[in-house]
Formats: sequence, structure tokens, C-alpha cells
Amino acid sequence: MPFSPDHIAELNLLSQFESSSGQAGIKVHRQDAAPETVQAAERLFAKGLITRDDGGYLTPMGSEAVELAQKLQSILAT
Amino acid sequence: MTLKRITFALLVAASCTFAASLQAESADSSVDKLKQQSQELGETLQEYGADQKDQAEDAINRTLAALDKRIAQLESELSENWDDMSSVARERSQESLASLREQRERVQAWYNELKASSASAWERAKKGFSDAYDALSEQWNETERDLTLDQDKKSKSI
Repeated sequence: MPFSPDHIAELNLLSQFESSSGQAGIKVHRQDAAPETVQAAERLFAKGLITRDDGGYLTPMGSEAVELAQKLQSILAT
Repeated sequence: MTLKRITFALLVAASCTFAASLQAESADSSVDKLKQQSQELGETLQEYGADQKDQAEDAINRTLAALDKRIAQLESELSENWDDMSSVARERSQESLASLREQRERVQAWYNELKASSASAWERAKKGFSDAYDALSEQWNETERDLTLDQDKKSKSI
């Protein structure tokens, strides 16, 4: 099953978090950010991966998703 | 007669001032105690293994309950002082308290994860909780500073 453009946008947004511990939050500025990023944030929030619909912090599930995404990226990069 | 009245009035005023000062000191010491309790939890949490889950939950419950009580006090103090605050101070205090509530919710999410975690997922959940808890502690200290600063400004302006 290929990654959809929506999934790619969500993965890219998750990769913006500094680490899976989610110590630092992020903010997606609706006026400045690309529409796909704004929508990705809204979807990640709806799925319970981040704490706000414009960013916020990683939830426990979001933290796990980031860890898995980092592993996948590391495998693909070798 | 007049001298008696003046003496009585002075005594009443002095006792009120003393009582207010005692109350302020008591509030300060309870906040200090909570800060210490909060710091201790952050340190001891690292030592809890998956087999000490119940002990960890007890320690977390106690500290979070005390923190929730303090957050409610800060909210109440903000409401009481609201009319005397500048719009800048109001905005800063509201933002600070909103950040504090957000961090508290984040800690709760990780706490739920910790409670539900199996022995193999314990360390990961504990790390997530610790990180979220550290951020909450930091934000709490910041909110205390923000609100105290506003109260100091208010008392100086009187």
C-alpha cells in the first residue's frame, strides 16, 4: 500500500518534533504554513497523535509514531 | 475613653496585619513544600522499576493532587486580582495559566499510559511521563513567577 500524499504530509510534520520525547512543542501558523501542513496537523490531532490542531506536543501515541517513523527513515536511508 | 478607643483600634489593626502576614507565610511555605515534593518525585521516579508500579502511582497521585490544588488556588487568585490588573498583566497571566493547564493535560495522558503499560513498556512510558512532568514543573514555576510579579506590581502601585 503506497503512502498517500496526506500520509507523507503527516510524516513530515511528525518529523518536525525534535525527539519522540516531545519535550518541545511546535506551532503550525495557519497564515504562513502550507495548506497541506495545516491540514496534516488537524488530522494528526484528530487521530490523537498531537495535543492541538495546530501543533502542540506529541501524545504518547504520537511519540510512538515518531519513534517508528525515525526507525523507518533510518532503514530507508541505509 | 478616647485613648482606650485608639489603643483598641491600634491593637485590632496590628493583629489583622499579623494574621495577614502569617497567612502569607503559610501560603509561601506550602508552595515551597510542594516545590520540594514535586522535585523529589521527579528524582525518585527514575528509581521505580516495573515491579514498583503501585508505589510509583501512589507517589504520582499524591503530588499531582497537590499540584492540582495549587493550580486551582492560582486560578482563584487571578480571579480575585483581575479588576486591579493591567490588560498586559491579565493577558500574560491567562497565557501562563493556559500553558500550565496544557502541560497538566499532557502529564495526565502520559500518566494514563504509564498506568496501562505492561512491564516491557514501563521504561518507555516512564520516560515519557518524566519528560512531560519536567515540562509541567518548569511551567508551574514560571506561572508562579508570572503571577507573583503581577501581585508585587499591584501592591507597589497601592
